[in-house]
Amino acid sequence: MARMKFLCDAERCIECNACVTACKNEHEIPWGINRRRVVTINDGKPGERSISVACMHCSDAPCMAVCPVDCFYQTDEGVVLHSKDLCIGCGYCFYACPFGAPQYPQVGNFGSRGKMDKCTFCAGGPEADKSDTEFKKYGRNRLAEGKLPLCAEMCSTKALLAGDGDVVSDIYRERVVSRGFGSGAWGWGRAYPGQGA
Amino acid sequence: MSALAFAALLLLVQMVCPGLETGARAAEVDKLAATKPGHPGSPDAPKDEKPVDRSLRGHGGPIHAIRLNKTKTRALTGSFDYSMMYWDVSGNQPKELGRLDDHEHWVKAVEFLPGEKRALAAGGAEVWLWDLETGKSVHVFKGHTAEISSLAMSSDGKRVASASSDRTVRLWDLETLTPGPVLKGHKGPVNGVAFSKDNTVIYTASYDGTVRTWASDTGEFKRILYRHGFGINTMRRLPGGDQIVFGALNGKALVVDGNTGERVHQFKDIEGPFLATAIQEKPGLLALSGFQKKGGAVVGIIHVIRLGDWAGIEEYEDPRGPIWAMDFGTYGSTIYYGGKDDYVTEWQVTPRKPFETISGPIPRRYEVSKTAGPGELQFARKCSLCHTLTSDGGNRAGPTLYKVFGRKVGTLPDYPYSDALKKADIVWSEKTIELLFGLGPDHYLPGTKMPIQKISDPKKREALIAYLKVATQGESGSGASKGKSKNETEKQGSKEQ
Repeated sequence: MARMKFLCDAERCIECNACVTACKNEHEIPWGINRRRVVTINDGKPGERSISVACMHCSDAPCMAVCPVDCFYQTDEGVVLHSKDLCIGCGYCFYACPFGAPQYPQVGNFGSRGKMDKCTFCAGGPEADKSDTEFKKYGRNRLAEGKLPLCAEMCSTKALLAGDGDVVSDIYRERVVSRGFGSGAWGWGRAYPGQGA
Repeated sequence: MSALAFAALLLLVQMVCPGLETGARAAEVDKLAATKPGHPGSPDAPKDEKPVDRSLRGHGGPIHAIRLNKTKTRALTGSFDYSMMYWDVSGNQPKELGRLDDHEHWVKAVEFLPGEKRALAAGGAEVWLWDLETGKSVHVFKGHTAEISSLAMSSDGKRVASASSDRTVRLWDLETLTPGPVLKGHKGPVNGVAFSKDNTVIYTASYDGTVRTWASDTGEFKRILYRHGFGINTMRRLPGGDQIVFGALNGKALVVDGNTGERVHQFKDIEGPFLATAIQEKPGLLALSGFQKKGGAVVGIIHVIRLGDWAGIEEYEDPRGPIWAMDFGTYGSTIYYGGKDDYVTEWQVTPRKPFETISGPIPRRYEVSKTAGPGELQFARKCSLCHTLTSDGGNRAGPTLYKVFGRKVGTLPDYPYSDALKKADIVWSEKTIELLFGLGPDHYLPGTKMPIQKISDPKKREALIAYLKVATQGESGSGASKGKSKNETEKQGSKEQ
């Protein structure tokens, strides 16, 4: 079975934020929450690079390691998902994730965070595939519909790739060989140790 | 040997042997620690007796805050069970002195006030000032809109700063009990705060990856002292000057000059994030904790470092997982730490005492066997972190569910209910529990302390209610006594239905 991964080619990202908008629109994400965001390094200076960042669905996901109620699980395709029924909003995953993926869309009573929300790789959650409940809690389950994440599908420069990890790393490798340079597949070393692109 | 004399001896060694190699230095600390009364290596240590369990047991949820007083005789601990506990740790066997549980959310930071008769607890978005002698709250500082992650006291004990997920730090006057300046500017939750040595500057560290400085009298932003990039989880000022130490979520920990912003030292990386720091002024030690993966398991990490030359003294691994809170015990020879479990462990730093081998996974109450029924599974996964089924509440965040059917909401005598529940005119029944999880506590009982917890599948709600009907009837009920801790057993019957 394919191991799903994201890859962002910083040489191609033009900071258009289409991935961010597509994600919000597809999953009807509330105002103030971005499951995906574009980060620009060395803004306005030589060597400026932009990277589209969301949950990387890490091999050894630190969020899974710290959760005090064990609300995370990893699918057969390597996608890291969580149950909002179990999440208590403690924020521990937030302190552990190197990609800043966990978000808290709602402030509860007495300063509590509410349920955590994050990128699902467009794979929904533990509710029945393509059900209304799943959509309301986790967003669209495009994988169950036979599609890949919309953020990557929408990317006009194909800086953001999503899909079978072997395929996306092959594409990236070919690009680096063809153009003769590459600033590295940002985050791959940390998300998928020992599997350089 | 008195504590004072021992501390003086440690200081003397530090002064006369500044260049000792790590091993030799550790051996010196070892040797000195062994002279401490009651220490396992000391002449008066009990012989041929089973080691005393010096863990602090009494909380009903994971531990997130630990602070010892200067003489290392008293401890404060904060937990997910909405309480701060107060302990006497001076003797061989730690004793519980009080449990302060009126907070309406998790306690994620605690501090002693000078004199140690009062203490502060960050309960959710509020800072609670407690009188430790009477066990009563003196004042509640309100203003933050999201959870407070850390507190810092000025050296004169007159002001406290609270760092919050609402991206601000607030200052509070502890003499007049009035709010002070609000420090606004971080672009992410603020996780660390500290006063400068002369109390004129506030250092703040945030998830936005920056350390910033502010004027403590006006709250005016001064500058970005250091840009780390990755989120900073923990920060403290080192004693004797204005150097600050911080640990970040990319597994890096640094010492930075608080005046110039220059990097003074970078510690050895860990794979996972750093989560907590502890400082021992004499003999001058720093501890950094976090977690990383090892052989497929998640182990908690503590690195003990000597201040000044930053030499590593000890490294420790705990197979029970991430270490979220810690503080040094007597003379820095022990560290009290906590994580996912309901108790605080005391680790003997010198002479080094490794963790005992654990075979197999560590059981936790939300984990259930594959043979568990659907209702038991729902209870274990969604309710058991905060509720027991026995006549005792087990000091958990929520009241016991023992004989809950037919009980009026908010009426258990010893449980500190929110005002919303005290006023609610509802009796727990199949129908009302169904509504609680169908609509969600925030809609069915607005103002409740209970986390937002819906069970959207009617079959799962039905299974949970069917299980609760049996399991809440008493010890004979299915699963009622399962997973009962020693603490719960001892306290059986201490609370009435």
